[in-house]
Amino acid sequence: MKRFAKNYLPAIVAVLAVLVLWQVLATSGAVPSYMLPSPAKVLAVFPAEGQLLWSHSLVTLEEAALGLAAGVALGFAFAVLMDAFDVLRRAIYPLLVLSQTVPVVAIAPLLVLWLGYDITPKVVLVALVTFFPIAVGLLQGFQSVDPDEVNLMRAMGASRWQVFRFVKIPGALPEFFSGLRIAVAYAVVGAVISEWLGGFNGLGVYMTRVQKAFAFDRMFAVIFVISAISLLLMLLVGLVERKSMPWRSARQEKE
Amino acid sequence: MEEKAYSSLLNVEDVTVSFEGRAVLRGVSLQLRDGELVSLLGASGGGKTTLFNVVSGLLVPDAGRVLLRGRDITGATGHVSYMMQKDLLLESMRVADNVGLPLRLRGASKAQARAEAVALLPDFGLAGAAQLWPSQLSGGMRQRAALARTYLASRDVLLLDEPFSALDAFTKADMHRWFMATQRRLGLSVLFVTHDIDEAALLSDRILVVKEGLIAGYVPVTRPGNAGDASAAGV
Repeated sequence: MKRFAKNYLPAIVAVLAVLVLWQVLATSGAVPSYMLPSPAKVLAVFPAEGQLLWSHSLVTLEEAALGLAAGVALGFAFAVLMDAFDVLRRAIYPLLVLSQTVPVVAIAPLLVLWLGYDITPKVVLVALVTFFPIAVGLLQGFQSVDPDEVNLMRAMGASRWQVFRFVKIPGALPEFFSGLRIAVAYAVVGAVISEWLGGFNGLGVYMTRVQKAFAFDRMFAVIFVISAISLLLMLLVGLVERKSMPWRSARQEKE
Repeated sequence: MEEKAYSSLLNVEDVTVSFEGRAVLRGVSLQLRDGELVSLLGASGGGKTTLFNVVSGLLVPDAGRVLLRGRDITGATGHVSYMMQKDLLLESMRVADNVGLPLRLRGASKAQARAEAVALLPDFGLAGAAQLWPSQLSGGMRQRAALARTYLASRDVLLLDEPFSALDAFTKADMHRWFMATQRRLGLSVLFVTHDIDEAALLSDRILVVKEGLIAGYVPVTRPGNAGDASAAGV
């Protein structure tokens, strides 16, 4: 409990302070209340709109999950190939970095034109934005493995696959999870952005609708929902991370 | 010493290695007999580690060959086991799985490998440590776990490359005592690289002085219990 207080209390206090400041600012009249609704007003949206927000959230989550799965699979494949073949790494890595200079909002309309208004362009966009942190994280992880560990495994007669499985994969897990934590946040944002540009359901579509109605309180409500979803997903990644690397928590206990 | 009482286990014959035109090993030959501990003593950069890379099969020599019980194993890995200065335990595996890893590499199931490793742990002073992670071990325990793994990798020949040099003086002294007893009890045949003369004198049956890619000298050692006890030492 003491550790919990030490680790999380400052952050909780800071968030509460921001909310209080916002409430004061919004109710003081310094900013017109229709432009900046108070946190209390935003929360008041949920009883009426909760059901609708929930159904839109499910659509966005589905797109994000499918895209993330594709991005992780693709990133994994690229990282393995780049790690195994030096020449591929030299060829592809600069391309990957270059691809990150293209803004997402610039590709999204193209994808809509190419792939239509259904779920496909959204999933593709999410895959594109999540692929990079996964590929780069995993590659760094693979390359951070001590070459002596690989030599020792080889001296013991290990095959390439066994080296990969026993040394490279576990060695790359920390970097993979750092990449994944970024990727889940990208996934939700990517799905929302692609929904802005055309679609029938999802939080992005809801957002453009309430924007056209100048319903500021609902716009803020959907922002709350999006950040809550991202936060939950990142917590989930942290949980899976701890479960998949029990040796790390053992080390912390010792210290 | 009765040379013929030993069967010749490992023969290194005339091994030559050069990197980019620079000769690192210039015709090195040596023999290791069953149950014997031979030290390769010399300053860093003398070619000791290169020799180990050749014997373990990681490096193919430009000339010469390596024989294990008369069989040519030049350039083939998996025949002798190699322990480097770092213990190189895999942090992601519990002690028992680390020690049993060589068996898994040869196709044993996880449970089989683990069972054999657990049975071996008391011999290496690690009874009760099977379920721990490497990060929970002390420096001496880590080295012993790495030695146990090396032993499971090949009971024939152990190549130990300065295994105790990273330990503090007290742990090192403990490890020396323990290692001498264990080497005798299990009859381990060991090639041991060190640059510490005292360590070489303490542990070895013979010392080979390695200098500039050559075996420059040979020092027989009479260690406590060696004299008149050669056959009990491991044959």
